[in-house]
Amino acid sequence: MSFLPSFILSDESKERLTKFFNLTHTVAHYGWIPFVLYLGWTQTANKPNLLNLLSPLPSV
Amino acid sequence: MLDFMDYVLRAFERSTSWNRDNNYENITVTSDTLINFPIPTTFKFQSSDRASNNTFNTLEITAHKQVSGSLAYLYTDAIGMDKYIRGSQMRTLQDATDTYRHIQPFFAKQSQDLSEVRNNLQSNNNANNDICRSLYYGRIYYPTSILEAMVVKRINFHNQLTIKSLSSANNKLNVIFVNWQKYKNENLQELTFSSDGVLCGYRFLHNFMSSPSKFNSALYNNASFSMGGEMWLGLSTLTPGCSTSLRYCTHAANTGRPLTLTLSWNPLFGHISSTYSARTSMSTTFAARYDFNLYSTDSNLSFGCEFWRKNSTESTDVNKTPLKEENQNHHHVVSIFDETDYNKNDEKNIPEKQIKLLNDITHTFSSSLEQMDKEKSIIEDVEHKFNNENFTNVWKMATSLRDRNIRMLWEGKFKGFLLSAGTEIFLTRDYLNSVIRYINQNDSTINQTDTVTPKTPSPISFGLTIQYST
Repeated sequence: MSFLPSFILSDESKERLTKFFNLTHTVAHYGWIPFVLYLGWTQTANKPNLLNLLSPLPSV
Repeated sequence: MLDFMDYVLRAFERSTSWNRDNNYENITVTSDTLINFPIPTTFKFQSSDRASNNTFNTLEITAHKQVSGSLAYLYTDAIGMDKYIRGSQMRTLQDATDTYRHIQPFFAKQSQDLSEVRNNLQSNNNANNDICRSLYYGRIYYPTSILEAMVVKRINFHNQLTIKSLSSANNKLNVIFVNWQKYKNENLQELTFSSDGVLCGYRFLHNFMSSPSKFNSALYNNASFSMGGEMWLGLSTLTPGCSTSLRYCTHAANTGRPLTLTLSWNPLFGHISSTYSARTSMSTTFAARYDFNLYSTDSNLSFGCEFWRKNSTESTDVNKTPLKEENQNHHHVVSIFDETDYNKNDEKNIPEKQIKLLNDITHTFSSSLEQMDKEKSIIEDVEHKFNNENFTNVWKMATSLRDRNIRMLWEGKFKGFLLSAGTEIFLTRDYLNSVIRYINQNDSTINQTDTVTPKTPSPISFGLTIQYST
């Protein structure tokens, strides 16, 4: 938010926005793969068990 | 060796009838795969599994000075993915690696799958749902915790949207890449945006010949001629970029073997590049590329070749099936004048003069039409034979006269595993000296004058990749 002039946003608002964007980024970063797995689990007719869904090893 | 997730992405595009070769990015892909093929530089093991028909995952372990790795998950709601995806045991080597790619933009459009889809689209709206599918992909790297995310959305029959993202946990690396492609009326247009440097780009590709046509030397001709260009602008630094290319794909008239010629020009850097690629026989391919810079007058000549090998003991019954019968009736022009198709009941309704005229036309053009079908069957036979051949390994070699390097890659199948081993050898001392100087500059403990000049050619990189998938 540092690129925005001070008359558009106050320092406090900038700080809040920065915190909000950081939180969104963290949620997206760690939540993306669980989201992909969740889509795969819900959209499959015969719901595979969690271990089968997570494990890339062919024997499981 | 093709990454498993790339293999799934290509299967997604096939299932949604999207032609990945028909864009400007891949206009020189035929020669690039023969000359600039990627060589593994580390030891890498990749294990992939299919949790369901639509969910795929991959574990990758890389050993280079330290052990690192990645874990990838992919979900797609595309229909019929099981038809296109096979485990490493069943996958043919031609599917597992990039090889000579004969690009036929209009043929893909006219392919059977696509025509079926189009017919369905016209008949019912449910078929539209079969095309408008999505793909979600995520890969997280260890130990850097960098996340690679991708969403591919087929919006409708003519449009596809791709969003890619790179993100690091410590907020140092955040890049979003958006690509929108539109294919309509022999034109493919692309709009691209990247948050790294606020880069905006526009690319287009136009295919001039929209259908197989009669040409000068051959009666049957399925050549394609394409022209494309790209324009880039980095808004943060106002750095422009552009290039334009031509591509001509055809077949040798007698043997039916495909060949591709391209010519690229970058007006800003004054760089001209021309390539020639051909499948010289059923198991060998060859490519040559000549680069020239108008401003510095530097030039470079590169060669690349592939040697496909198969077990001599294994029989290839599939290849011996003749296509002749199938092709004889394929050409619609012949069927019109074919006597067997002629309906005798209609003969009474046609005046005698017209019957005589029809017979004369049939007699005059029959030899040409037969020749046309013969040429077509030869061309299709070459593709069919290569795709159904049971190859066990392939040697890829490339060299560049200016860089004085030799690149070698061996790829093959062994007991259900896909293996890929490669090395790159530099014969020039200048390059090695520059590498050593670079290392010495970065290492403060070494004195600047203590540079070592190697006397013998040294392999710069060597790597091995093992891939297994179910």
